Amino acid sequence: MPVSERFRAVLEARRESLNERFARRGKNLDPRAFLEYLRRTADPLVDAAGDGAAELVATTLFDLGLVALERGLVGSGDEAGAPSPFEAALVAALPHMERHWTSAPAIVTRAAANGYEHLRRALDDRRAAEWLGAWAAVAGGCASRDELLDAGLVLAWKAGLAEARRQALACVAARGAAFAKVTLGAIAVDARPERRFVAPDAEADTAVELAAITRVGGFRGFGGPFRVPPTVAAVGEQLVASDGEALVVLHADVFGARVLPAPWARDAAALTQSGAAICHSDEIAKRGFGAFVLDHFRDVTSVASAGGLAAVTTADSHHVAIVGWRARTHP
Amino acid sequence: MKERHSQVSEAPTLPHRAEGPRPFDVADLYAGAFGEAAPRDTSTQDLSEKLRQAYFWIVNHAIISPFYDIEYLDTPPPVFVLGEHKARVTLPTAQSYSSYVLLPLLNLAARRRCLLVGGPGRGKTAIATLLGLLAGYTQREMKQGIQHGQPQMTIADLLGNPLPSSMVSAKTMDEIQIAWRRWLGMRVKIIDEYNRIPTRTQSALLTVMADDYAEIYDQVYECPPAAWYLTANDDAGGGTYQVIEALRDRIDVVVKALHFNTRFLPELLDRIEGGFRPEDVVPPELVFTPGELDRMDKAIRAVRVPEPLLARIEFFAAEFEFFEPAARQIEYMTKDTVKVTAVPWETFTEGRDVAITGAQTRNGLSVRALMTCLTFAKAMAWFRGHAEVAFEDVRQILPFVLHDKLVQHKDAPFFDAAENAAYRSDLVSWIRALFDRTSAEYDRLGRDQRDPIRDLLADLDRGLDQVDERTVDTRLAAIERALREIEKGGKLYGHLF
Repeated sequence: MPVSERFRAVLEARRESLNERFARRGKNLDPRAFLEYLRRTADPLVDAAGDGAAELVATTLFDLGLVALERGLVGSGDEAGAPSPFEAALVAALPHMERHWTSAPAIVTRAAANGYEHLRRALDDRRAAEWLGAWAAVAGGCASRDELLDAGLVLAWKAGLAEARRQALACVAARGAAFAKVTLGAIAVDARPERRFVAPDAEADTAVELAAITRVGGFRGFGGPFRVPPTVAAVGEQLVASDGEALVVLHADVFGARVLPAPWARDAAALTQSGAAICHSDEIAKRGFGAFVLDHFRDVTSVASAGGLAAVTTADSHHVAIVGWRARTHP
Repeated sequence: MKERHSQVSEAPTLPHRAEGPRPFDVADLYAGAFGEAAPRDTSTQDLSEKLRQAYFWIVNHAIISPFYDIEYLDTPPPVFVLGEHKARVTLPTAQSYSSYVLLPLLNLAARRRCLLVGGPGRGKTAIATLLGLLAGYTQREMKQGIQHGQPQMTIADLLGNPLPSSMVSAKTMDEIQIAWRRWLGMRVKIIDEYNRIPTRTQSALLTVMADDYAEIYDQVYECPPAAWYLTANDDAGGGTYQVIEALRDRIDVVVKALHFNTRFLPELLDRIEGGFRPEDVVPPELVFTPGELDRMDKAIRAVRVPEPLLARIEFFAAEFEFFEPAARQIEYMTKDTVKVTAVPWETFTEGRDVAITGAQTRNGLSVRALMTCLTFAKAMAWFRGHAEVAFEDVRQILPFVLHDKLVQHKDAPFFDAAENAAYRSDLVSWIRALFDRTSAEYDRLGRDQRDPIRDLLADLDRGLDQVDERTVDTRLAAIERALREIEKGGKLYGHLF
């Protein structure tokens, strides 16, 4: 299938330079798969970018394709020659980025691709594609590139990137009600830690109840981080869990829960292993976590609370239970 | 091939150890394998990271200088003793740098005056030109802006000419219009072979360098803050003209262009075959805007110097001015007294004790030299991504700042010892050894814990307002006690002066 006139013109003008790029970086790549990518993904995007941005879009997508093909993000669609979810997401989203994309194609394209890859690895392909689609949908309402990038961050948090909560809330607070409405669907967002498991668009006086919200972690043999049942500890405003080898920080709120490596909390690892983390602090008692844990968990090995949530471990589980206040589900 | 040479090192170029939970940053989302997305406007960009990327681009692709003589260690390094003269070679364990590239770059960031010294073809003018390009000038502008020193260079060649038409029509000096040379307005100023400029023109250059203005026929041109680069084939006055002392004194940092390491011949072949020069492939993302240059300077000045480190520098600097045999009155016991009276050094038989560190020099450190030391130490710390100057920053930077400022007393008995003879020509190692020696002495005296004079000065700083007579008497007694202690020691040292 022939490519558009616009793309053809760029390829002809930059032929030598692009061939040199492929020779240098694409030695181990399948030239036919790369040509398919150019035809299938780069061509419609270059054509959509218009004459002013065509050359920069083409070269950016050329370089991006080399990396994406190497990482298996290109050409893995079900049918032969079908676009991968990554390609499909780019083709669907970038033209909707409008002036942000055409005025700085390299920056916005790389941001979109990096963001997609970040979410794909942290979550999955589906949520990465949904994030990119949602980002493109709000791009038109963003007055500046900084606002666009902030919107992407808030939407990444909403997609399930729980570690982005603090920064996302800071963006929402700084950008105001209109931004909050567009990104989170709420004019005012309740940033109180104890409301972290309540949807942002819920009424301020929504009744809440204590509940075991979710579980994170798991046995290493099944894809989790722990070899043996872990214990937890609070380090400042963060909760960490360790089995003596792996050391992770816990992030959880209404949009999702994640565990991430926490090399900075080595001292806490020693604390959790010493057994001192079976915690009966005022914080746990005050929030009512203590009574809830006693009622709902057996063989508790550690409890820790910080930032409006509690983490509980038990002797027979490689998981960490997350306890917090969620919107009441019954009258 | 050209594109390989435009490759910029990926950030972070100097990863720091994790010191605490780092909040998720917007940059984390948009950074990754697909390249830098430059998520923020440059007003919030980490300029020290950009400067480090510029450094790595220069050392990797532009100036072949595989000599990492600014060494940082975070663990004890492996040390090798090589050759007949037992040269110690250490393998640095932390990120280390080539002074020939790093110091000119810091000079750009701190906007000071750098002298590049070395034989022909060592890349002195090339690195200065590259820094001009990194400051946003075009190759053409840089070519026009470089002032080439030559024996016939006049003040008009350097600064500009009065317009002939206004010379004819002007009734007063004020009415004479001057066609100023364009380089005066540039933020990167390059004077090639400055020791070939005639003495009179050097004086005009001195005014521009020292005071940032040029003057012809009562007309004044005010120059913007700039980073200066001067080149010379040698630093021992081997040019056509002797460099006037005041001009030498204005140079903040001296960098030696080292020889070419022939192991890198294939790199030169690459350039020949590719038909390009490093100037042709400066990555645009490494070019600094005037606003960024201003912000870098401000950020460097904001770096803190911790008090104990400042006390150590103070101790080091105090060693050099004091010269007991110079006078009977204590205030005049300085090397300056000897210098201004032009008494030959050979006439002084005292004060040459090997144990006295100050005996190795013929001068002390000027205020300007000390300010330059602090500025470059701050620049070094900032370049390494720190908000506070560390001991090693000072230790690494001093030799280059004091290279031209601390005049070695080559006849001092210290240099007669076989193991010290090489210091006569290796000034960088000599100055570093001086700092190490005074630092060891500082520690031996326990000055971090106890410094009676500092305590007395602190009392003095509190002033005499609301102080009763009894307190004054107590303070005076403390001063006298301190002087008696010094008296008991029998010998005066620089740090007591």
